Amino acid sequence: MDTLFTFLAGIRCWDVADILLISYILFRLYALFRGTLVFGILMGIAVLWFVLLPITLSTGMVLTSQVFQGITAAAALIIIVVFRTEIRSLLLAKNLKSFFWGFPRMRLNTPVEVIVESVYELAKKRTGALIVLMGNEDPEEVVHSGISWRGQVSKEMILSIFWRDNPVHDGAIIIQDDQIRDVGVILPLSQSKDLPSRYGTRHRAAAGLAEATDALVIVVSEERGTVSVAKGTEMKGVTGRDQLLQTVREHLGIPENEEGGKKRGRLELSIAGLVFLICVSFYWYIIAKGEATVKIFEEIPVEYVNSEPGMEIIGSVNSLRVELSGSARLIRQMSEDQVNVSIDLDKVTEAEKTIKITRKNMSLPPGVRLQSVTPEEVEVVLDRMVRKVLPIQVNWVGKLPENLRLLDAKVTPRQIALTEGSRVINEISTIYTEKISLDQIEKSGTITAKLDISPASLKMDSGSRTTVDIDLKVADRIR
Amino acid sequence: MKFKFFTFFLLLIYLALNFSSQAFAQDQEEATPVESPQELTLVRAVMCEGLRGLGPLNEAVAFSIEREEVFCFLNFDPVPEKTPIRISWFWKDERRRNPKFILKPPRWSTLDSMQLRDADKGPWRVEVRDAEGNILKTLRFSITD
Repeated sequence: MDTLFTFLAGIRCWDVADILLISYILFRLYALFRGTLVFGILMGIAVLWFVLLPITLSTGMVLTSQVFQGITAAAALIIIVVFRTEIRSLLLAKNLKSFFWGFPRMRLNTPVEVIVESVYELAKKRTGALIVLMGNEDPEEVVHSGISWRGQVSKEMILSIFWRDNPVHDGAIIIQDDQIRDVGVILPLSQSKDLPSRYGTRHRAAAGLAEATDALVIVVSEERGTVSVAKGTEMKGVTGRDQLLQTVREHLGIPENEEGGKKRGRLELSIAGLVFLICVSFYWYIIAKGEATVKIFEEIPVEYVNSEPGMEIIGSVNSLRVELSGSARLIRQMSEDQVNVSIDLDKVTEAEKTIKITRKNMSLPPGVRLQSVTPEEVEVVLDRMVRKVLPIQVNWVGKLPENLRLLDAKVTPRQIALTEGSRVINEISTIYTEKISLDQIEKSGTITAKLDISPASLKMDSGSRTTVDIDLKVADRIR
Repeated sequence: MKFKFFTFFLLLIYLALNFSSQAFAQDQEEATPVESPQELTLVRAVMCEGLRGLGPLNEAVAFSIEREEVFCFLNFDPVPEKTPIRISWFWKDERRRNPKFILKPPRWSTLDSMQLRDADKGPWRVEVRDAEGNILKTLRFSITD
């Protein structure tokens, strides 16, 4: 019980927001795509990723797990390419409210009774007809030709389209909502070998479209005057008006009892929402809390930011030892690059300041917690950069011949400008050349020598020379 | 009588004026030669091996440790008033000696020296400062093998 309370107390408001957001996204995907092939494929991929793949990994089925990983990796691209039409129509939603909050309404406006009456009128007159009632998918990708009609559905209209002498009677009509959208549409033929031989081209066309989309296709046979419906991979005969009415209503999602239908719809969505919430919470627990593990990084670099212009950091800690904890899954995948430590020097005005390292100084991946950091405090020493002009002096070594003396040595240039922190440069009065031996000097002349700029942190002005010319004068020594 | 008195009076005034102008001219003549600044002036400063006569011997900028001693020769002219100076000896930037000398008018020469040891090899500088601490001259030299 104590463990449970501790666990519940450790849940942050951001964790709750995390769970609710993902649950809502999944719920919206379900609400927008339910009943369509897209949703089916998404569910299949989810089962593959969350169920089958972990099983293959844990049982050591290397080849199978590789294949599953490849499929899921390519799944996103495949879904976008294959279902681009559905995704496009979704993204072209009339307003954001319907995208984020609306539910696709079934075609309650479709005059089902009119369609059924028309079908049986055509059957009675032995007039062949193909009537396509769209589902959520637009069949325009799989059909050919077709003439845009956009006429109101009425019995007279349907009868006149399929009248033998009408130029467009040969193709199918596509009904969307309460409109006949297209006429004279050529449907793809089914390649299935299971269709009975009595079915002709008209029936094969109906079966072909039903297999390729989620549409319901009503076929009126010209030879026998019978009515059949094709949906998915099924083709079945319809015995009467009531059966056809019920079939069409089911396809369009129109309940007989409208109020009861709405209640069922709401219940279905509520259950779906609850299921997603539970699943996401469970998955969050596995990632965020399951099997906590500790990982230590010995040298995480420290970044100092926002120091005052002209100030330089001359003494501080450059790296820290950091101990992190989190779920085993998260910690195992972590690398040093994901841990960043930065110290803000914005309000630091003193030359020396001790700064305590806390969680606020760190950027960690979500779900990872800071256990400890060593050292816990960092001493930062700031210094103002100062430019100083210093004289140059020759550093002579060795010995001239006994009879000679070095009367003078003029250095060009005589001075050099250097920049360094004030603490360092204020201690320096002279810059020396490299050691120059007197052993080989026998007469006056000019030599060139390098400067020995020490400490190495001293910065020269750009373009400054690193060598000097020495004009030396040698004279006899008076004994 | 009045004429004589008046004449005598004029003569007196004339003589008085004459003497005063001559005295003024003399003052001018005496003041003119004092054109040199009334401040301490260092006219010569060298590092050398010793003295010969009243001047430096073998001035140089590099001295062998075998010499055992090195000298700093300074000549001030003029010295307006009795005044102290400091001669600071630096090995690299480390001050090793800082003796004080008193200069007396009208002119003065000073010789400061330092014994040399093996640890004294390297670059040196000598700074000559006046009573206010102003650097009058910096001499740079090296002690070598």
